[in-house]
Amino acid sequence: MLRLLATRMAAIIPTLLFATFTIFGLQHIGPADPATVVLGENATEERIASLREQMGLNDPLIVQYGKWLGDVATGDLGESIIRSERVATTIKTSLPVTLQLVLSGVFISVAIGVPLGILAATRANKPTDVMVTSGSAIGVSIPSFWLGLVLITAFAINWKIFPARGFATPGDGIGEAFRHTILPAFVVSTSGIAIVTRQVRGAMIEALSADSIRTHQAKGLPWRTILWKHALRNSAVTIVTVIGLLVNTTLGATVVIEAVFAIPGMGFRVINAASGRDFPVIQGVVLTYVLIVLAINLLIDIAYRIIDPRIQ
Amino acid sequence: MTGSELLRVRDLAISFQTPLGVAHAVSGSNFTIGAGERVGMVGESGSGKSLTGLSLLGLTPPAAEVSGEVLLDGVDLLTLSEKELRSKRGKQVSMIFQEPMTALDPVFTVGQQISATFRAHHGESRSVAKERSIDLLQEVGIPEPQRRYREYPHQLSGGMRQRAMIAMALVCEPQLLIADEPTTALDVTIQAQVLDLIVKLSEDRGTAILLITHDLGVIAETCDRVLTMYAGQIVEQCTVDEALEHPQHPYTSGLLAAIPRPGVAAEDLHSIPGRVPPPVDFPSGCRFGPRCEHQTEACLQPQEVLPSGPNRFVRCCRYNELTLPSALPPSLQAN
Amino acid sequence: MTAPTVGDTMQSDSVRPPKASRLQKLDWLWADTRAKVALGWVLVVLFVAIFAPFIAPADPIEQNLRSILAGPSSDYLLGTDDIGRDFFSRMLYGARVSMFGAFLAVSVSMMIGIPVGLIAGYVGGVIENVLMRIVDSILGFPAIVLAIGLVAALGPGLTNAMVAVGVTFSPSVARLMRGQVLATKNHLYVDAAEQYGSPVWRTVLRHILPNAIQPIIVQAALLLAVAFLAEAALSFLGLGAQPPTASWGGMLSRSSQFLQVSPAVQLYAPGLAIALTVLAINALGDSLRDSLDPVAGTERRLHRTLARAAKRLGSNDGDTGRHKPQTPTVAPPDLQPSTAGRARS
Repeated sequence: MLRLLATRMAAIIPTLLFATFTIFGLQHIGPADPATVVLGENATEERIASLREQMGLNDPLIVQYGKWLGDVATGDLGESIIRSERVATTIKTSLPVTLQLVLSGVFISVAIGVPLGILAATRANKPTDVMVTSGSAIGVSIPSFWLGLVLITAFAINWKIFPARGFATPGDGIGEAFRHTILPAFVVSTSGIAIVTRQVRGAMIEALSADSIRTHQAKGLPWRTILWKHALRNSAVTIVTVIGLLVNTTLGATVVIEAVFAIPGMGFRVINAASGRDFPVIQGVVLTYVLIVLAINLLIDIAYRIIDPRIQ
Repeated sequence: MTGSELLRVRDLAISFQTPLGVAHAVSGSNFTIGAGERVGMVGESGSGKSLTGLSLLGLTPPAAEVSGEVLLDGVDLLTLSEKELRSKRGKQVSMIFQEPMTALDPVFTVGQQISATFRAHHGESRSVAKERSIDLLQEVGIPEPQRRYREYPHQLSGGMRQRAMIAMALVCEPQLLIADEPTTALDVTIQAQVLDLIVKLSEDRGTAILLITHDLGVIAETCDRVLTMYAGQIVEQCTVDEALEHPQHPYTSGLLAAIPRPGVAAEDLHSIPGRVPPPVDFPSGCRFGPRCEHQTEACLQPQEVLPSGPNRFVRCCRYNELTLPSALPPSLQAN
Repeated sequence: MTAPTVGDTMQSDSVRPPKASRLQKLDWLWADTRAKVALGWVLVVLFVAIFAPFIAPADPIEQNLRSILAGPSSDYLLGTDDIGRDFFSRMLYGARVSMFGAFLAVSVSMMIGIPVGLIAGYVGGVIENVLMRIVDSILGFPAIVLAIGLVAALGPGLTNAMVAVGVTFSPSVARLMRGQVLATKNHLYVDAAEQYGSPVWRTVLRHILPNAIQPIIVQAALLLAVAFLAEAALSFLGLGAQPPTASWGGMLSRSSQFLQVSPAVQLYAPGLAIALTVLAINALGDSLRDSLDPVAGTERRLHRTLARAAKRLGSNDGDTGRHKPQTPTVAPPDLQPSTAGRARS
């Protein structure tokens, strides 16, 4: 197990380096000059030049990247160009918020998607299945931010059940946290539900057509047991894989939804940073996203080995 | 062979609606199996033998239309509800399949699967079930049964997997075991061992066996009686000795000629020309007719099952006219 | 009728599926209602996108500050937005933006992905390894984050945003292309021996590309749908189409700021437009995929019918008799797990 962890960690490094280098490099190929961004368009040539020198922008790209890496290793992610806040602080405050939203969304996706997928599989090609499958197709087609707006109109403005904006963590009270999370989490989960449903349905159909199912019937096992204990277990690998994909998709979904609901998570910050060309923040946030996804993939890998005895 | 009758199948017919017409996969089968008796069912693929086996468990595909009677110990299985059938499957009648690697559940241990059968029919505790399963693993000849109990199917060899399946099928002491091509997927050396095991278990426990296979040689080694199936019909029913020495149906005789034997080169093995007709397109007369050397005008009529000896039946109008090649060496043939 | 002679095989020649001709590719279109409806809608949107300047009753950026946030009327079919612009006209022009953006993104992804995949698959070795590693690492994280990063570097704007989106799509195109190249490469070796003397690149172009291109086309259709959504999202966030350009995403963004006072139709029109168009493109992509599969159109359906029939007959090759439930899509008997090994693509 330890060896597995070590090899996987080793494999992560190149990905990490590549991703961050790309993002780092981008700010230099783009038309925006960080120094100009800070000082504004009207600053004099000399001031821009001296600030560039100060920021080390005249060094070769590799050198700058190396310096940044070194800083990151010590926990220094730089400072935001726009707001005078350490990037590390920004991430520290926004990460938990995003995580809360992502985890809630993933939870809802799984809680709704898995049973729906099983339902569709057991009634494959019958009206129930057609409805579920069509529903999934619609689910991936609806723009999430629009759905968010519609729900805000209904639940927050018209019926005043949930708040339209803002966020609350469990620290502010579970009830408040729930009220603020439920709507955005649901919106975030819609495309996830569609994906999970489709994959679970496919995996279950395949599991149910395996020869071993016939053997179980020949043994006299009740259908309930065959479905829930055997078919589901055999689909487990696919389901776990889907969850990995799900986290990825949900993370992407939160970026936009945080904007819709004005939730101060990482997505919100990175959007503001993008508008204002605030590169340190962008880099820091992208780095964090990459780390999250890689961590999830690692967990999924470990989960495989626990679930399926055939994988060594 | 003991006296009492365990299974009686009467006018069993299985058919399907297909886009190409109605497929009569099994037509009018009649046979019995006595308690403790070992009966073989031989035929090519598409002959309906597997479906027949499945119908004895009520496991035919949902699209199948099944009619007739399947009397197991006097109870007609075809009239039972799913719940009632379930109580019989694995307990009164069991089935083992051709490919143990896919027939066993890969994510559960061998032991768990055997225990599950036991506990499904007897409300015993886990430890009792475990002990019983280990006993059975021992009985089927698996060394180190405690260790194997905890292993997964992919960790066992092909032969051991099949033995484990046999253990699973016998754990509740069924009266009838149906074996559908149990050795076809195994190595030749292992085949013999598994067949011996099946015979031994049948003798020790008095379990009746229905051995379904395309290999008449396998039946010759293990069974007392044989049913030859062709194109959904049973074309001959007799003892194994009778089939080997004096077959009455040309198809049976043809199958005999195809069994590999010492002294006969592989190229000289006779194969029956032609192919099995598709179930939607059976000839109206004798279904074997088009492939038969001895076909005459009379064979264009639908062939009835004719009694042709003590407890012997054949579906050939010319059975008492023909003298068919048997499995005896040429010097002893033809009387 | 003469009696059948000895040795006659009663097995009728198995029905041979017709070779799918190019014309049959249009077959699927007429046969499938869903595809027809979807195509209809997409054509409507395309038409609007192209002819917006001629259809629109008003200038989409002209402001009429005396009539803001008005409801639908005879003058303004969908009312006016917060600075008095005709919502309906903006909707029509928005189609242009979205369509243009989606096609741009897909084009970019193809321009990058196809060559990369081609090289990786054909050349193999270290180059393939390195390229695929890069591809996998990009595929690894949320595309929208990457896109936002790129937009930040390049500056907000429709073109930049959709180029960024195209870049995030290119790894999946590259992967697909590489897979296709690998699949056909094996056949190629046989051909290569025969075509001794023909320049390699020409063989590649003439043999690999035509075969590989079909799944790419399906992929392109599905990516188009995603690109459409991405454009809407980025415009909504202010990173895509910039004001005063009308785009459906951007219009939703404005409406969201005046959620309580905007006419309801202005909330639903852009959203529905996006949803319906994406749904339609997805449906078209699915139909396309169903028909351009290696076993094309009618052949596939016939294949499936025969397989289902064979399965029902319960021949031992495909024998999986079970009581319930009914297995829907049936693997033909020769692809059953028991004869393991061949995976269905």
